[in-house]
Amino acid sequence: MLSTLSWSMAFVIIAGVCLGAWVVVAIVWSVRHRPFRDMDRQARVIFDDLEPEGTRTDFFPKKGPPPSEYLL
Amino acid sequence: MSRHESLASSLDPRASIPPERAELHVIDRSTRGPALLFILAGVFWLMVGTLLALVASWKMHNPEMLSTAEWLTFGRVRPAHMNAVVYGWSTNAAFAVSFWLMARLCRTPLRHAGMLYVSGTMWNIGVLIGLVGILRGDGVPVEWLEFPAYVGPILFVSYALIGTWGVIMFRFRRSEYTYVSQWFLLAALFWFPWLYSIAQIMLVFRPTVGVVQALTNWWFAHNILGLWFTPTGLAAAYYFIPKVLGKPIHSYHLSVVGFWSFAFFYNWAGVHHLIGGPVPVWVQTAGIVASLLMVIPVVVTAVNHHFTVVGSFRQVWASPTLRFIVFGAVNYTLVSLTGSLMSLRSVNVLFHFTHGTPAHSHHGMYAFFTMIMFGSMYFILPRILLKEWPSASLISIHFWTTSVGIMFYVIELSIGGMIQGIELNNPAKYPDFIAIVRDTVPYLFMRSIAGILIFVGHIAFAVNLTWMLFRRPSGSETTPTMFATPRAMTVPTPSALAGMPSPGDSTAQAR
Repeated sequence: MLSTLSWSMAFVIIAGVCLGAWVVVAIVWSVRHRPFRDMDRQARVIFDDLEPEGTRTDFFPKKGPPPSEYLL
Repeated sequence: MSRHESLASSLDPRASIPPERAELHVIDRSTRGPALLFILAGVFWLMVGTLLALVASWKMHNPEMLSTAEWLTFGRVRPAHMNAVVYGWSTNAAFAVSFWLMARLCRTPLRHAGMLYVSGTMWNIGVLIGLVGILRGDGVPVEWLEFPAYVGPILFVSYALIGTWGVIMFRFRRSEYTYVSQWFLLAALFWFPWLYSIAQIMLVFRPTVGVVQALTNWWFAHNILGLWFTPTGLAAAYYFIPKVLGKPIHSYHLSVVGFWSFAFFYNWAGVHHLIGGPVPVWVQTAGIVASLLMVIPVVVTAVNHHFTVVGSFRQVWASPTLRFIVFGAVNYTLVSLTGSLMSLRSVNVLFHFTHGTPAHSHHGMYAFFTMIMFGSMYFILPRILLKEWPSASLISIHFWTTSVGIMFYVIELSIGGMIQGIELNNPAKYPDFIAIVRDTVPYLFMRSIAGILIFVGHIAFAVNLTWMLFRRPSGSETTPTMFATPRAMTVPTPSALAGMPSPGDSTAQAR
């Protein structure tokens, strides 16, 4: 029967192997998807037609300007 | 919509990904139930945790208070406070913000809300059992892991469901790119179970002994802040700062450097809690080096966040979301740089085993992480409830009491800790240990005053949130945060979308 320490070490080793394998999968996936292409567009993915770039999207309630003045 | 998808089909590697991108308001509405469950549970634990904090804090300068009830002794109330705010408030808030951000950035409605309802219910039952266990005297004497052993499996299974959900959401994403916030969220989703499972095994179920136990304890305790709460907070800051200001992040290239340097260096830094302890010197030195290398991701992130804000301070002040988030981002820079500084042996010898340590941990967990979570909720809740916050005054009270309260707390307790450290390091001049303890009392009293101020802010937030939940929305309410009437946003059909006032149109007119 494994000692207390051995059980802990076995778990840590198994977890390490699983997570290491996952890291390899993640690296392969990221290389295939070319994550560093077109960084300028990546920075703008948070904007769209409903909340476009150049438009502020948060104000104190009842204290914001009318929609026509939302622009920076 | 998600409720029509079976879990088996989502896990099938051959499953097809829907071609269309969902509109933001459709996505927001799909997150409503799970996000509300976690936010409301989080706010409940925040109030419980703050009350426990006040009791624990008051006992430090008035030990006789409530001393007749054993479940209210300091040794139980203090870990109960800590676990209520770490696993109750902070983790619930991190989950809620992560769901909402992940769904928005994947441009797909939230799938499998049922998994999140089950995991949320389990998680909060686990927290309740854990807190009752600590107050009953069942707590485990391991810092940041005081919940009784029988709570660990409940929390782990609950988290496994959330992690699985995160992978499914990412797989069915419709966004063209993976935004920097998603890197941090996905990394955090993997880092947390790694930390929690190994710490549970090595510290609670099959405890290691001696030096390895201390090392594992501080590896976990430091990384639960650094590899779970910090990436979630940074993910929110990277999203909300450019989003609310309407301009992209200062340098997307820098965000890549920031993420990977963060991922490489943070994991090593926890050992600096054991400087001067019976730990091999090379291990301590490795921790110090990693702590200093953390300056790289911190400065990079600071440049990115703060340079995005430069020139837009008026807009920051006008936004409840950004007031809290920019406050949190500034404090991320400060707490990280002071953390690196405190890892130096010459500085560490002054602050170690003093009240400077809780001052530093509250700087990170509250001034940085919690303030960013508050800011995120000010943005998220109007969009998922389709109602505006009822009171601007309560938001102002919340901001001023919490920001002034936490800065007062951090500064005065750091000063108290430094004085305590100077006295402890000069036994020739300060031979009486009890006299040194008495010298800290004024700082501990001021800490309680700061705690009361923060509690007032939490009450203001809870009242505003409750008022918002039960208030009837006005049919014609066009709020500055939503660009359209709630009535229009509740109908996710193409014809309804075509009839909505388009901010793009107003942009074009203004230009």
